[in-house]
Amino acid sequence: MLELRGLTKRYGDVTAVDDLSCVFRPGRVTGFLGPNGAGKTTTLLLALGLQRPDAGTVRVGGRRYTALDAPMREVGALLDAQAVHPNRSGRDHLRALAAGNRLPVARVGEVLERVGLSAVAGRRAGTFSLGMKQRLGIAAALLGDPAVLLLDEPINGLDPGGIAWVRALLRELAAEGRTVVLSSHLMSEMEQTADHLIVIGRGRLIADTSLTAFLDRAAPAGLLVRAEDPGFPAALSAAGGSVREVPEGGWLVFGLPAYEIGRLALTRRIVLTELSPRRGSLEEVFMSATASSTDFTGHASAPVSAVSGVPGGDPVRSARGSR
Amino acid sequence: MRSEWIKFWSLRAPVAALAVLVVLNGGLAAMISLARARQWDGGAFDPVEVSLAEILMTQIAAAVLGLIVINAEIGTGAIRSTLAAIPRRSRVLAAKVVITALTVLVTGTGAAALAFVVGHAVLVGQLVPTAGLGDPGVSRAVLGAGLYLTVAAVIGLAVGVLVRSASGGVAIVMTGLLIVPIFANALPEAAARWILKFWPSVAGLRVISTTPDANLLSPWAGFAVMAATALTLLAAAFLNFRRRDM
Repeated sequence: MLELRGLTKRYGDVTAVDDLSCVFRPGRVTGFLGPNGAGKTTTLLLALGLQRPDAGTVRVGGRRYTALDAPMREVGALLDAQAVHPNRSGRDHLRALAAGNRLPVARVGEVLERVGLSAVAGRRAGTFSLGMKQRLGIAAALLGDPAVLLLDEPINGLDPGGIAWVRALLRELAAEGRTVVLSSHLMSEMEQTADHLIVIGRGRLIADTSLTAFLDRAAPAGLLVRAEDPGFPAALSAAGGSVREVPEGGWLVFGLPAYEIGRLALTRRIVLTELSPRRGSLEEVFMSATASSTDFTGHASAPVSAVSGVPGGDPVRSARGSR
Repeated sequence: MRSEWIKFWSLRAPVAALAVLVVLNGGLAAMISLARARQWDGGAFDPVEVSLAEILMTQIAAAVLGLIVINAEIGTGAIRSTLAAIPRRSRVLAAKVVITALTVLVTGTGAAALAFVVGHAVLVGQLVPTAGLGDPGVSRAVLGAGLYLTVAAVIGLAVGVLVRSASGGVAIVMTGLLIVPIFANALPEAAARWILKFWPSVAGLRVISTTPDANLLSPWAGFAVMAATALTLLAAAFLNFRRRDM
């Protein structure tokens, strides 16, 4: 269990983490979600004692991280997969870390096996692909067989096979009763992997809820409408619906029931080619939840603005890019 | 400690720096001994000091080694993995200092002994005074040269902590240890005199001398000036390293 209480960190005038209190519980994958710059990484740095909070505390299983004797046995972290010395072999990197926590050397071979790097571990880390470095970072996190795992964007650079592998691994680790924290700005990733969400924006807690509750609360169910008449959206709007174009073609309509749309099409003699319920994706929910917290102050109701593309900038782009 | 030991020996750069230290020490000892022997005009000649004088230059290899030990981690971000694994930062830095100092002490003393032997071999062929390993002050000078290199490595390490950039660290170390002493004579006489007596990397060199000089500090007093400088920098490095956001 990882517990943050009143955590605050300022860099000059910027408050990166602002009075953040939440609990990451064991036995599930908790998605730690927020747009770039929301304070996710800073929170992890504070949790690991790498930076000093201006206020508040972080407790791991009830104790302060910096007071732990062999912290790798309690918390395994992957912060930045690139942060290995390029001229040191993967195996030596792990050996040095293991020695620092008096872990048996045999663990190095075990974790290398688990992440599938055994064959290449003797190579210099600089020759590794980003995906291999991610695996090396995950291996380092697993080294002490910890009860808490903090993974910052662990799927960056992984190929589809690798992504599936990480997802399965995280589920497995959570099933073993560990606290698994998956930090990401990729909403689609959360949808696939997380049970619970802790959402932050501008360093503040926005939501602490189960994934389904988060979707239900913030994702209005809409209807996907496809029709042969480009003028149809105007008619839908006139009838009181809120309409937005969908990149794949067609429109997502909120605020009008299906029979209303059908009647509208009939009276206008428009052929409907599709009329199906569609829930907003986690991306959209997320955008609506954090729109006010991102540095760009967007406009109007969130699902619409999410597609018109502006608020939050980065997360929208990266979420799209990940599809 | 074992963690730092593994890290030290699993990279090429520190090992290369040690090799450079030994090779340069031997090579420069031969060159300096030959040059000084040829210039000799019959005045005072300290064969021990001559054969060990190259440590003024080879200390840069030792200092750069110290820099590498810390910068290899700060520069690559690997310091975060290290400190997440071992949150007691003073321990991490202390382990680095101990490993670096011990390694350089052993290698540096060996390099100094090599330099003395090489220098001696060169001097014997010239018409100048020579000294054997058993002569008074000689073993102190050789061991002192090893200590001098060790202190230089510690200074490099401390500077590496205080200055985060590798190039900045090298520039500071080069200037402080080598360039200031070399250009001291270009300064006004009073300043030059002060530098040649008290500047840490010059004062420290007294430890390899076997001839007393009333204008300069005694061997161990000179060395103490340099060691005190290193300890001051090291204390600053510890304070900074403990408090800093990584």
